[in-house]
Amino acid sequence: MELIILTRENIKTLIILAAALAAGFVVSSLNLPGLSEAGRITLGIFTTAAILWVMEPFPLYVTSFIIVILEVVLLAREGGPLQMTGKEYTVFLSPFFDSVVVLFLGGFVMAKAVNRYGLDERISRSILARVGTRPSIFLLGMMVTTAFLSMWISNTATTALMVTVAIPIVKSFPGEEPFRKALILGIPFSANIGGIGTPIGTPPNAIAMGILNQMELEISFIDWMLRGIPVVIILTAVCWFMLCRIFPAGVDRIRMESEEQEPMDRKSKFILSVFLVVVALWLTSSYHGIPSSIVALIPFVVFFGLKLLDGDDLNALGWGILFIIGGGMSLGIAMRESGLSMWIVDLIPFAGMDILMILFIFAVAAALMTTFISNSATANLLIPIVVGVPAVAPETSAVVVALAASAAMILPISTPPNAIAYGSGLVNVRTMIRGGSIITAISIIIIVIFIYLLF
Amino acid sequence: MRYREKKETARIEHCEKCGSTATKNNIYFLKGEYVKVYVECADCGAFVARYTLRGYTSNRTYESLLRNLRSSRFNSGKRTMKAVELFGKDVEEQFQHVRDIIREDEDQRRMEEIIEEDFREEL
Repeated sequence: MELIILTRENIKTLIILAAALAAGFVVSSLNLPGLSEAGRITLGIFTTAAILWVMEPFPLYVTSFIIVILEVVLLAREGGPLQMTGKEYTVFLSPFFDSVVVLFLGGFVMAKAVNRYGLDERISRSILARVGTRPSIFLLGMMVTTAFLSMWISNTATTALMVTVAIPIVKSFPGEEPFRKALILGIPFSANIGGIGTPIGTPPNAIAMGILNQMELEISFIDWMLRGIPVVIILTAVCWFMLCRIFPAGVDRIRMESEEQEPMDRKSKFILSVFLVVVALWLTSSYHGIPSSIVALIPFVVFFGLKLLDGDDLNALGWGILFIIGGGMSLGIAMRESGLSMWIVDLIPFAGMDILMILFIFAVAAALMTTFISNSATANLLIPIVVGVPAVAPETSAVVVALAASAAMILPISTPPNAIAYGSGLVNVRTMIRGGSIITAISIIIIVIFIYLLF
Repeated sequence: MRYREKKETARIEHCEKCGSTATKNNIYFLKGEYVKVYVECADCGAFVARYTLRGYTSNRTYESLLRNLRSSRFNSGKRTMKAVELFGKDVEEQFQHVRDIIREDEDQRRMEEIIEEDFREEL
């Protein structure tokens, strides 16, 4: 029988997996002073997860389940180093349906409905029709629209939508016009920035909230937005200013064909109403007492119950991302329970260091990592460590890392929105590095200072 | 038969009534529903088949990719880059591959037989 699963690519995958497991085994075998047996094993699991999340031999969510298998088999089995009995091992499974994961699921359902009924495109076109034709103002309008949409729907989907809208306008410029690059780069950059604004904007936000929840440090939906929105506004403005400076417009007006929009149909109006009600309930959860995660189930029940969404939509909800968040939180539990987080923190010479300096180190580490690996993986690996640093409040550390993980915009591989913009062929790697590195550096400074002042 | 060996097969749609392979696609759009393609025989005007679209790729492949990405979720920049780079190339290669299969060994069975007997699990 032909072994069709043993393709060249799968063999490479198996080799990387074996190497990651071997590296984890070697690390867990080291005699590290001050680290318990459970801590050493967890360090081995952390090493394996880090290698797999960096090398990406398979989708990131597969690693999440490898983490759970290793945690239960090596740490939580009967008689294992964590001394767990019976069903206590389920502590490593429960993050996969944590309240933050449910909150994100509700966000996915709303985004799916908005996308399926074309509300995202309607919103973007109606805003852009009102911003005028001055190039710099049009760019600002485009970036504000992108940032706003990406607070609620995925950064990837927002970028794909806005690039679709922008391409005819970009192509109307002469080929050598530098402002074309500003228009194309402004979209992924503002999508990355916009994701910072709400807990459901991008997975690192959920990972930070989830790990803080496990420490019984809850950040509500509105608390997050009160800190996230000012950062989004300032970063969008700075990013816009920098793009206008780096790629100045050589024309006075842009050519844009305005299309008359059809009136909204009943289904679209209904979806928009549900969306607004859910957001209002999220923002007022401290008044009515219904947790945000339970509010997030409302769009699920309403849209699927009334058949506005169907089974195909359910399958396409981005379950993989939920599993990535769950995997990160599960790893966080193991790191805390085994004492590994504290052991790592003790190794780093933070004593006597200024809080701002510590936050800068966290932010730079997150931005550097996420330049090359997924922002979720970065958050999964860094947040469980930084929340243990005693000199800084865990909320501040976690939020700085989560936000900085969204701020890396240097390479096409840094984020999916960057990759999409690069795929247009209208910007090359050098252009992206030129624009992205300056904006990334400024973003880190702004994030650190703002979150330091706001917490 | 190719499909028995390689788990793949291909054929050209044809009119059950007159046997013509010349067809016209009548495409139906209804907000919130999947797009449906009603295939009409270009020679006799008879209904040939209906397809429900779950994806669409035109020869303007980057624009098609953007449409697909609007309803999907990527979390990795590397994987998105791979998808972006491969998308147009993959579609063009698959198109040539399907033409080669039809030229060399076109499946003669009815469409229902192919779909229901061999590819049910793919549906």
